[in-house]
Amino acid sequence: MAALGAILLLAPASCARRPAEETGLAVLFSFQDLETEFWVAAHRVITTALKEKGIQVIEQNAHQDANRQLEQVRAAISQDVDGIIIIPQDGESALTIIGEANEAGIPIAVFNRPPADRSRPAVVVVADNARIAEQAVEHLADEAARLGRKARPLILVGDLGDPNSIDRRKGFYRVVDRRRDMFHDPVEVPTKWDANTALSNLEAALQADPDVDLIFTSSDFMYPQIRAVLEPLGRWKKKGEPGHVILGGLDGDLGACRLMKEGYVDATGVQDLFFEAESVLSGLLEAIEKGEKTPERWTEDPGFALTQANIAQRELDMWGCRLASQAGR
Amino acid sequence: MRETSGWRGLLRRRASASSETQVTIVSRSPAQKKTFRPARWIGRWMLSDFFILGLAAVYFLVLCGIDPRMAGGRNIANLASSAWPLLALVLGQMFVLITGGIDLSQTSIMALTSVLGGILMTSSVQPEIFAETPLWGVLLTEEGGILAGLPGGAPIGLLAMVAAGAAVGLLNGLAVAKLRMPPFLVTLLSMMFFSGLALYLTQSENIRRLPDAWIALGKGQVGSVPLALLLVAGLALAAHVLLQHTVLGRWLYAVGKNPRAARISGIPVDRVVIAAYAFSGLMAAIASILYSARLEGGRPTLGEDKLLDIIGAAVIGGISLFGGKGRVSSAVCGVAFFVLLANSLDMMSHWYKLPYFTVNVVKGSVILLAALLDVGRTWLRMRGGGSPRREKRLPADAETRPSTGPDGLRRAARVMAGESSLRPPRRDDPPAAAPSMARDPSSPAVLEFRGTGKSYFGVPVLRGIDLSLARGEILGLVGENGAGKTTLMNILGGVARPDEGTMRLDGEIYSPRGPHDARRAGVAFIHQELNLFGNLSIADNLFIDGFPRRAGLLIDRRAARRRAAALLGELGLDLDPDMRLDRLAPGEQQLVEVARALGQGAGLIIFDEPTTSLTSRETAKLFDVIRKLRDERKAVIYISHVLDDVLRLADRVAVLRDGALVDVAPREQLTAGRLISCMVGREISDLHPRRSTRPSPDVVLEVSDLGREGAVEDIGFALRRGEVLGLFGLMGSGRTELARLIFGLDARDSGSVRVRGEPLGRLDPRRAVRKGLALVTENRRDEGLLPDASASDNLALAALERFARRGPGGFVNRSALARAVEGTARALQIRSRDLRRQPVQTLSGGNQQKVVIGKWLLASPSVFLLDEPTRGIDVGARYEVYSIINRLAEKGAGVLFISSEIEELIGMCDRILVLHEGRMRAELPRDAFDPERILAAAFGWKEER
Amino acid sequence: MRTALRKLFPLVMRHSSWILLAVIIAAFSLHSSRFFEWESALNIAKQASYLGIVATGMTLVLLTAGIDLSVGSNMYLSAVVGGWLLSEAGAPLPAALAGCLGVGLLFGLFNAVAVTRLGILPFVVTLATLVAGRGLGLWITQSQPVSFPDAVLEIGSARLFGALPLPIAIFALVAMAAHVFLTRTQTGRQLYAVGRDLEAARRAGIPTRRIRALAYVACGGLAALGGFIAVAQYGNVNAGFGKNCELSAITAAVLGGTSLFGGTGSVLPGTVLGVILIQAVTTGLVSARIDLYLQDLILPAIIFAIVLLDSIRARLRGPSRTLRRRA
Repeated sequence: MAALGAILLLAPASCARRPAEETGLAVLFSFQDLETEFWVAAHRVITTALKEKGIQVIEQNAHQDANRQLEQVRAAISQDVDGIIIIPQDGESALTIIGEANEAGIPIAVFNRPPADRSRPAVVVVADNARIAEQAVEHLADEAARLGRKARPLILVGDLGDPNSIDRRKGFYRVVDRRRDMFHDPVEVPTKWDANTALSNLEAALQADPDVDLIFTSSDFMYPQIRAVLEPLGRWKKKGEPGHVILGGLDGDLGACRLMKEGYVDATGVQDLFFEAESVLSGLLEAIEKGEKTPERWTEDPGFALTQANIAQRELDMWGCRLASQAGR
Repeated sequence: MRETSGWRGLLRRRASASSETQVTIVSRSPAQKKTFRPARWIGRWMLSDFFILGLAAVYFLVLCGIDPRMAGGRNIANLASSAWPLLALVLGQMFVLITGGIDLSQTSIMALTSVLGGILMTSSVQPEIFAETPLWGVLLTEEGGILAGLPGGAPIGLLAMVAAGAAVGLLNGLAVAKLRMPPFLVTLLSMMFFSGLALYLTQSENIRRLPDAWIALGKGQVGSVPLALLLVAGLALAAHVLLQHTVLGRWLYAVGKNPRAARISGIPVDRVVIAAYAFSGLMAAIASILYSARLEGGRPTLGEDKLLDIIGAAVIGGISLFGGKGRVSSAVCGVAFFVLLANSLDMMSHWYKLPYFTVNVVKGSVILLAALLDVGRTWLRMRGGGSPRREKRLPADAETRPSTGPDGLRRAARVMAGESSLRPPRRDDPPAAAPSMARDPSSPAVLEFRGTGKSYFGVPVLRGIDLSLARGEILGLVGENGAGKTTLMNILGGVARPDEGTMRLDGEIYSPRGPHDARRAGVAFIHQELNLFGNLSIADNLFIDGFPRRAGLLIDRRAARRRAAALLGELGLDLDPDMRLDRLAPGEQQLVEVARALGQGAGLIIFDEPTTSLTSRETAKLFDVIRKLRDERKAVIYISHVLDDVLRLADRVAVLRDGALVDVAPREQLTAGRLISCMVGREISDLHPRRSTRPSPDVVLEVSDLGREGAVEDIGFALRRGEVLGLFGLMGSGRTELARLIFGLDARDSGSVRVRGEPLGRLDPRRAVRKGLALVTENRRDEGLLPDASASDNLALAALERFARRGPGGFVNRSALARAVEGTARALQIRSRDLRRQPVQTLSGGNQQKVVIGKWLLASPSVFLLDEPTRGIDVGARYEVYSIINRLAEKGAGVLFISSEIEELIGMCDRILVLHEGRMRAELPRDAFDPERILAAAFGWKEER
Repeated sequence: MRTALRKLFPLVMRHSSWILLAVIIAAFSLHSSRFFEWESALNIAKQASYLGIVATGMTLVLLTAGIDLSVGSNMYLSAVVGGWLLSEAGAPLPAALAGCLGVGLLFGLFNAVAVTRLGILPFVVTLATLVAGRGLGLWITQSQPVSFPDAVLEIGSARLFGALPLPIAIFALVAMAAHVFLTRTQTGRQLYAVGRDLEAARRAGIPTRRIRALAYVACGGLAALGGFIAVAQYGNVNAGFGKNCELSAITAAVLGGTSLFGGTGSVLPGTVLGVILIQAVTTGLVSARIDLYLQDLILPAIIFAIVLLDSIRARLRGPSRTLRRRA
């Protein structure tokens, strides 16, 4: 009955807050599921920054469905938002969504994942996952070279439907293929970005190939699983201790920071979260301020590999460490 | 006046208004009339097909009130563009849901076809990305897909996508129909497999540069109408026409409502199911085309999270997950509501800054609310509220199993007490006088009804019953179907509660609140439908609500076995208590049920039609047991249509008619004739009507050397035009199996069947029906009827193709069909309040049986195989069924009349065949009919031949 | 020869699941000798244990002819609450565990009430709670991962008597308890009766509502326990925890011979065998280093083959007309 409609409306209305009136601006922030710490942190940094500036943020989760994201952006356009920030599901859908915003004349910013090409104008801040993974694995390979024998590398592969995991896998293989002479065939472990799957498959893989020397995880959130598997085997060792497994990953979250400092992890590929967030925000806000409808700015976050060698200097460039130190303060 | 306002008043009023009785309708003052209106209006609206759509409209208007931009062109376009692909998906899903299945694989079909289309049609790809895909160099090169440059490549590619979608659906359908695997599992596995395949084919990459023609489907417009709208609206229209106007559509519903009955009616069930899954796949491919076009790319992850939307929209639209229900309008309504819901949640986060995680909580709650609403609507419909056009659903006939529909339905049915059909009392009947109680003063009444009455919707089903029963007495209870026997017993057994009067048990007031209470008071009710569980052992069944236990917790299996053996022994059953119940013969199961009652220490045992599935040997055994119970000073109530049994067994017999007790008398004073005239209220002079014609010499059915291991061997006979051929055999003699073999339901090991000289060939009921065979099975509920469809839908079932131009896809000539159906219903005197609306399960047993026979009449077969056509129907209806059989023969059909009642075979047949242990033991012409000879042959005594 | 085959065939069919397990182990062992080792078997059992516990609960629900799609969300929500109690509220471990299980039981209770009291289809109810439950969990965590203290990790990696990993022990205990419950208690037997024929069960005086409700509540509790066992092995919960777990649990139960139509199935050997089979195949595929994309194709294909064999077996046993006649 009509009561249903009433309930629907009243329930959220009762907890409604008045929008921030200071600037009167509203920005849509549409993202995919926040399942790793990087996304969670990015989400928090972006929303708090916008709110501090007195801009209303409309947060929407597209649940890894590009079509859903398109619908959300269209709905926002019909609500006359002043700007749009998306974390697209992939480069191809990003392009479509940008087109949609261009047509409506609303500035749009794309965070972290690059559109498939640069044919449509947008504020784009991206990290090249493959490139960053390559840097981190390069360092791991250098470490492995010191073993003085052919090393057996292992990679924890993320969900095969997620472009990030595909790119990171590519970066890993670039190094391994380039230095074929020093590596055995790599062991690939599927994780589907699922903690339990990662644990059981890694355990299985290490049961079959106990002589793994190097583990690269496609995301830092899986270190606890690696630890759970290595520890009973007596191989959860710090760098320099006998039996140490050369360990690296990508993301640069709090856990990775701690493990780097403790010496368990050799290298982690880091995206500069704060730089990316700030570039996106400043690019978009500038466009809104200037009244640009289809701003075009393309910023690349080169990223870097935080390694045991450079951790002393670059610790605070890593967002995980910075968040940790902020929390510690 | 609380009772006359609101729902209750509405229901009560409507119920009395729509029944044909003279129950006084409360006169309504104008003021009262006014108070009725909104409730009535809302009730009617709630029951209409477009309720959800109306709800969506109201919701939309409210939202527009909050923000007019809701109704702005952009948002409308957004709403619409997300609705079309979803509608395609839900339409496809609906076809599968109608057949009682589910298709979880639609999402993976979308992914697969999207990728496939991309690979075929993309105009160029980057080799560094795609060189690793397994199709590189085969279908995909640097210049793009193989269809890229071709003229007309795009249409071909899109067709290929659709074909691929249908092919995957076909595979699902094959696995479900041919391999008999559960749909949930099949489609779950195919979801896993094909989404994996989609990723494998492109190695996770999206494919861009699709042809413009494809993208136009997602974005293009004809005038100001989006192409996608035209496409999907066309498909929806086609689906509607298919479902409502073609043979295939009717078949889909029939398969969903009762696959076994559908199969026997000559419907190619497997092919219908396969078609439904293929259609679902096809629609998924269409959705994939639209979604991919919107995003301008082929995507291996397309639609990953869409399953929830699909099922959610279907459920909200009111498409049943149990099959047999769903229309295109339901799909449209569901999708409209669901899309609006998603859109409004997006909007609300703009208006109220809803945090993103609340969205899912709200979404889940709305799905729950919608389901709850549907339960309420079902309940309302069962109560007979709402649209005056809709016939009030009567409570299920005493003989029909409670509907297997959704829980809500079951609950509603339970509210109705699962009671017999309501026959309005005849006005000319004088109110029954309290009958004289012939009671032995030395044994005080153990049970006493005083003034017991019960009505449904103000229609009395029982009126002022005064009846008592003593220890050590067997009371026979007879009456036509609908006379109130079962209601009375349900009241006694705690299944229903009386409206008036009192019951006393051993002198104490007795008012059970449920079957459990009754049991505790020592009343055991052995239903016609056994309350046994085939999946459990005998001992489990005996003690299911009271195992001997150790330490109050664990079952003491040894004690259970011992006590079970003792109980079984008392009844002369030598069975292993650990044996699974479904291994037992029906008679043995019946006795297990008795043993359970004894084990519970019952002092009063009710038997409701216990002999319908028993052989005469088993019946005799059961009677011995019942007599033994009497000798142990237990009280027994015995209900049966077999009057001879009642007269043989009971000490006293009570007769019910139209809810009133019309006679109670000791056995000695009764004859079958008196009982019948009491029950019917008129004299039936001859139980078996005469036939006016003789069989002709033409053979219509010739069976030779028919055999199936473990069932029948070496059976041969010929059936002539106009002949009624009896087939007698005890339970387990193979008589039912023989009918099934002839019809092609079971595979045969040897032999052949010829109909009118033509061999039947391949085994397939459909073929048998086409050649002119008709089968009325002994189990009309499970194999004869679509219980919740109307009489006219049931009647049309077997003959649909005759009323269609050009095969299953053709349109049904509905008016011709309706005329034929009505003609048949009239000819058979099928009594239904509304042929087109009243569910057939609410008809009396006799009328149900007439519907099953009538279904075949429309297909005008030349051979009728009737397996126990009079089982469980009352005297009056029997006579009508006999007359129908005679008319069939008079019109030139051959009838094979299978029965376990010798009397009716002797009364009706031209010849009788006797089966014993799967072999033909005797063939008797009419002048040699002799019950003793027939029985002797059936028991295998070798004096014949 | 032919008669010998004829006799052998049903025998093979009757034990098809076991034979398949043997074949799978043999095949993978040929590929990698390490697969055939005690430690490997122990690993498979350990990895199967959390899913096994969840699948045991699922079996109870499936036996009543119901279904519970919400176990994955339940696992997440209850683990989140457990983690919050430990790290934020500073509760002692037993209290946190009790809180975690309590949330699971409540979650199950909600499903139970909606199914048995409101009369909504289990599929729809649990689909709705699947969506809403995770939303609720994310609301609490704001998508942040929740870490557990090391005390929890110790439970996960503990070994009973120095040999048997604790998760296996708990799984064994749960499976044994469920087995005893199903076969040796009145309520357990009534569960089968309810699943076979709800209406007949009601008429037979079985408290059908309570029995069905019990199944959902137990399933909720076991989902929470399974989730806790999983978490205890690595000590943190991220936002995707338990996703799609319902499908694995259902597949495992069905693989073990539990019918989706209710009334048929067992925990021992049924569901336990199903879980181990799935885990053995996954482990084998990883150990054999099959191409990642192909792994996702092979696993469903193998499950399909097993279920197909099972349905052929069921049809062979089918209507035992012969038997009945001779009886």
